Amino acid sequence: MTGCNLNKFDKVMRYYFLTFLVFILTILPRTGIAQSNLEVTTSVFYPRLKTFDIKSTYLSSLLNYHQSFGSFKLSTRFEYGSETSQYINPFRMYEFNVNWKHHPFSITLGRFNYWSSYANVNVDGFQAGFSTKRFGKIELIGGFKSVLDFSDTTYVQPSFFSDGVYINKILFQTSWSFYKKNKFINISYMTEGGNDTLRPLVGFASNWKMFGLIIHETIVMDLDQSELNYTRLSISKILKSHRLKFGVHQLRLNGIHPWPWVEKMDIPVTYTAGWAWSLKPQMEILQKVNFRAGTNSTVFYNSQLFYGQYYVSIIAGIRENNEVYGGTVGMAKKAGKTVKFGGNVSFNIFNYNDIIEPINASSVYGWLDWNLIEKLNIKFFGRYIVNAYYKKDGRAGVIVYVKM
Amino acid sequence: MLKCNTMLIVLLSLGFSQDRDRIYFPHDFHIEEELDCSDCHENVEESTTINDRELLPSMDEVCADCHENAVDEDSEDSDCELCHTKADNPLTYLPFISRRGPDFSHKQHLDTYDDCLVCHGSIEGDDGSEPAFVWKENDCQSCHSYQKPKSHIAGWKNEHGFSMNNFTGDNCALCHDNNTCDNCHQYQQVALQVHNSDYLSIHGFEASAGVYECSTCHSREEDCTSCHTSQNIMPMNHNFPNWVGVFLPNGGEHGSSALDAPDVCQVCHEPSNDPSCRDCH
Repeated sequence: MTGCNLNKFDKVMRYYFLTFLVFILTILPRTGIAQSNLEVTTSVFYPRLKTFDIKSTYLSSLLNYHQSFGSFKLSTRFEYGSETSQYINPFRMYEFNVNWKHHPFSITLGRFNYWSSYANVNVDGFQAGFSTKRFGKIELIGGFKSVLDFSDTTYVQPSFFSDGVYINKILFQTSWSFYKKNKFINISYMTEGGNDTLRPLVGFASNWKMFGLIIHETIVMDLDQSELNYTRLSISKILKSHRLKFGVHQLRLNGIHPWPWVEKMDIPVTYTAGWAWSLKPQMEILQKVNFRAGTNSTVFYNSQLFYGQYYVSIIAGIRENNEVYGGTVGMAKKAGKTVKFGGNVSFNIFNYNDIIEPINASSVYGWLDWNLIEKLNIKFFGRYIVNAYYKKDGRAGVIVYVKM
Repeated sequence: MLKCNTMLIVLLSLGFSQDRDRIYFPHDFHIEEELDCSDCHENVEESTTINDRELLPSMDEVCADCHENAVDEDSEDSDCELCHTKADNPLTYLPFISRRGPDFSHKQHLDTYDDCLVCHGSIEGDDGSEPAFVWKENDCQSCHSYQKPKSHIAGWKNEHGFSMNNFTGDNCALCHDNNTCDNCHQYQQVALQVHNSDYLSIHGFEASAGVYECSTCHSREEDCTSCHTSQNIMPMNHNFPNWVGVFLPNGGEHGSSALDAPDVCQVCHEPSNDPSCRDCH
C-alpha cells in the first residue's frame, strides 16, 4: 500500500468520518422512523504496471448512504482509500448534502453533484428550486466547485483563500426551465471562475418535437467575449424500430475545462451520425460515425451488436497516416440464482502505414459477482492489458458490497 | 399580542382542519351496474397529460345522464346530498384534484395495458365511504422499479448516451436521480464500469475524433496529467520521425495535429510557456 501522509486535517476528517459512520450505522437504522439506504463497498486490488514497475496493493472503502426524514433527505458518498495518481488525500467526499422538498420548493445544502446540458460538476454550496407545472422551474445554484479529496487545502495550495484559488472555483447559476409534453426549454445565466477571473455566461437548451423530428440543442455564450462558447445540436427521428440521429457539436474552451493554463482555444466541429435498430426486445444494432473536421480530419466508426447479454463491437478510425481497427466481444451471464459473471476481450491494430510497423493492443477483463447472502455481494475482477504503453499490465481485486 | 397570534393560529387550524365537502362516489356500486370506466371518465383513453381537467366527470354532463333530477337545482327531486358529503357547506369543495408530481399519460399506459385496475385496483370494493385514493409519486415505483421502459432493451446500458435527449417525453427522473448517473460515471472505477478494457489503447484516437466529450466526466486536471505529465507518457505519434523537425514540411505533423485537436495537445502543453513549443516557435 502506498503511504498516506496524515496531517492534522486528515486526522480531524477521519475522526468526523468515523463518528458519522458509527452514528448512521448503529442508531438511525434502528429508529425505524425514516427510510434509509446504505451501501458499503470495500475493495482491494493489486496493480502491476510494468512500465513504471509499480507493484502496490490499493485499498478503498466507499460508503453510500441515503436517509429520508419526511420532506428531508440526507445523501452521502464518502471514500477512504490509498493514495492514487488522481487523489493524493485518503479521504474523498463525493456527496454530502441535505435536501428539503416541499412542493413547489426544494433546497439542497452541502456538496452535491449537478448535471445539466451545460456541465457536470460537483458543487459545495446550495441549490434552490421553485417548480410549478404552469410556470416551470426557477433554480438557483451557488457555491464552489468541489475538490473531492480536499487536496487544495492540504497539499497543493498553502491556503484555499489565496492566489485567486477561490475565484477559480466560484460557480453561480440561475435558470428557468419549462417542461411540457414534447417541449423542454431552459435559459440559464452562469458565472464561473477560471483563470483568476469571473466569467459571465448565458446558456440556452431545448428539446422539442416538430414534424416528427426530435430536436435537441444547447448553446452557451460567453458574455465577456461576446462569442459562442459551446454549441450542440442533434436531430433524431424514430421510425418504428429504427432510431436515426444526426448531431453537431463544437466547443470553444475559454475557462471551463480541466487545464487552468489554457486561456482559449477553438476545437473544430464534430459531426455525428448514428442509426440504432431494435430487431427484437433482446437484440439491437447500433452504427455510429464521428467526423471531426480539420486540416487532417478524423473519422471514427463504431458498430455494435447486442444480443441479450452478449455484445460485439467493431471500431475503425482513420486520420491522415494513422489508422486503427479493432473490436471487442463481451458478455454477462447468470449462473444459478446467486452468481453472475461476465467480461470482455478486445483486440486492436494500429497501422501507421510506412512510418512504423503496425502495433497490436489486446486486453481481457473478467468479473464474477457472488450474492453470498441477501444483502452481501462479493465481486472478483481482473484485467490484463498488452499495449505499446504499459507493455504488460495486470490488475485484479475483490469488492465486498453490503446493502442495508 | 401573543393572545392575538394564538387566536389566529387556532382559527387557522380550525379552518384548515375542518372536513371538506367531497364527492361520495361508490365505485363498487357503479361497477356492479356494469358501467365501463370510460362511461364516466369519457376522454381518459385519449388523455396524454395529467392536466386534462376532463379526467374527472362533469356533474352537469356526465352525472346528469343518470341522475338528472338529483343534479337539477330547480327540480323538486334535487338532492345534493346524494353525492356531496357536506352539501350544506359547498364552499369547502375542492373542484380540482392536485396536479403535483410527474406528468402522466393515461393514453400511453392504456395502450400498453388496456386495464385501469393495474393502477386503480383500489376502486374495487370502494364504497365511497373513504375519501378518494390520492396518487403519490412513489406509487409509480410499484411498476417502474422493476418494469423498465421499452427503450431499456439489450445494450441500453452501453448505448444510452446515444439515445439520451432522443425522447422529449422521457422522464428519467421518475426512476433515476443523480445518484444513478454517479454510480458509474463519477467514482474511481476500481472495476471497469464505463469503458471497455481496451480504452487505454484507443482513448487518444477517440478524443481526437470527438467520439465522446471527455470533459463531461474528466473535468479535473489530474485525470489527464496523472499519466501524461506525471508519468511522461506521450501519444504514439510523438515517436514518429515525421512528427517534428525543422527540415520537415511545415515543421512536421505536429502543426496540423495541433490545429485539428488543440484540446488533445493542451492536456500536456501550455502553448505560451511550454519549452517544447517555445524552443522552436
